[in-house]
Amino acid sequence: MSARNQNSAESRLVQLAAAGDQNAQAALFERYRAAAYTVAFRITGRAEDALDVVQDSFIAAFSRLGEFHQESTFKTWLLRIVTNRALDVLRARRLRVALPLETQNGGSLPVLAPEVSDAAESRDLVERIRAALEKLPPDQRAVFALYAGGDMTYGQIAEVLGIPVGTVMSRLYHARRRLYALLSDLAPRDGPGGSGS
Amino acid sequence: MSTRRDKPDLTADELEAALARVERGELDALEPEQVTALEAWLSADPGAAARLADRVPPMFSAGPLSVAQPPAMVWQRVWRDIRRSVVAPVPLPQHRFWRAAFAVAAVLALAVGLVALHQVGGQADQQVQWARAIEIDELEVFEGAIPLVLSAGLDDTIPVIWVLESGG
Repeated sequence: MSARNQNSAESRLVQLAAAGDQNAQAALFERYRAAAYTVAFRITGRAEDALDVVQDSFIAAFSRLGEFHQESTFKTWLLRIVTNRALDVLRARRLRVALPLETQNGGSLPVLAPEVSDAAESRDLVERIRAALEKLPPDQRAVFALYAGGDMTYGQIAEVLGIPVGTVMSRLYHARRRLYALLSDLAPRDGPGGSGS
Repeated sequence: MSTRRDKPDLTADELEAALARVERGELDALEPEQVTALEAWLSADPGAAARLADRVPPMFSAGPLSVAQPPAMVWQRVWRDIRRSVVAPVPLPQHRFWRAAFAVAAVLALAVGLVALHQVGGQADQQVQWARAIEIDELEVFEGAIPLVLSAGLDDTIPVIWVLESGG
C-alpha cells in the first residue's frame, strides 16, 4: 500500500506517537507486534531472539518517528527495522563460538502453529520447517520471512528490503526450491517443477 | 511481441510466458535459468516489474508457516520495557521557533501597552524605556533562556525583568 492510500486514521496515530503520545504508541504496538514477531521469528528461528528483536525495533521506531515522513506505511517502515535487526542477530550468532547443536537450539522454544500444537507429530513438522528455514542463506530467509505472513505483495516485500521486485521473486524462488528439497517427503505432488503451489 | 530484452538466452515471448506464469502463482514451475532471465528483465523494465509488484506470491504448501504469538503476559512485559526505553521526543525546531516568536511578541505587546498607558496618563517623565541606570549584580539564566530588562520611572525605580524560557 502506498503512502497515498494509507489510512488517515493511522497517519494521525503515527503523528501522535511521534509527538510522544503513549496511547498512540500503544495502539501501534498492538496493531503490528504480531507481524513484527512473525518476521523476526522466521528470520531468527528462536522465540527469545524474536521477542528481543521486536522490542528493540519498536524502541528504535518510536525513538526515530520524527525521521519517518510516511513515504511508506508505518508497517513497511517497522518491518524494515525488524528485518535488519533480525539479520543482525543472525550475523552475531554466526560469530559466536560454535556450540554443540543441541546446546545452540536448547534455548529456543519451537513455536507451534495453534492448529497443530497438540500433536507430537505436528510439533515435529513445525520443528522440521524451522530447522529447514535455518538452512537458508540470510537474504533468502528475509524474503521468505516477509512472504510467510501471506499478506504481502512482491512490491511490499521489495519496499521493506530495499531490493528490486525481480530480486524478491528470484530469492523467493530459490528459497522455496530449497525448502521443498529439504522437506521433500512433506511436499505435495505439485511442488517445484509441478504445476505450482 | 519482439521488443529487445537484456537477457538474450530467452526470447521476448518466453519472458512474457514466464512472467505470466509467475503472475498466475506458478513461480515454482519455472526453471532456474528462466528465473535468472526474468529477474534481469524485471530489473531493466519498470513496466514489467509493476505487473508483478501488486501480486501476492503463491502459498507454501509443504507445511504450516503460521507462528504462534507469545501470550498476553509476555506482550505486556515487552510493552513495559519499550515504554521505559523510549526517549521522549525533542520538540521540532519549527515548534521551538514559533513558541519563542510568540513569547517575544507577547513581551513587545506588553511593553507597548505600558508605554501607551503612561503617555495617556500625561506624565512624560514616566515613560517605559530600556533600563540604563540599573545595576544588576547578578542575573543567571540557564539553558538558553533570554533575559530582558525593562524599567519605568524617571529614576528607573520600577525595574521589570523578563526571562524567556528556552523554547518560549
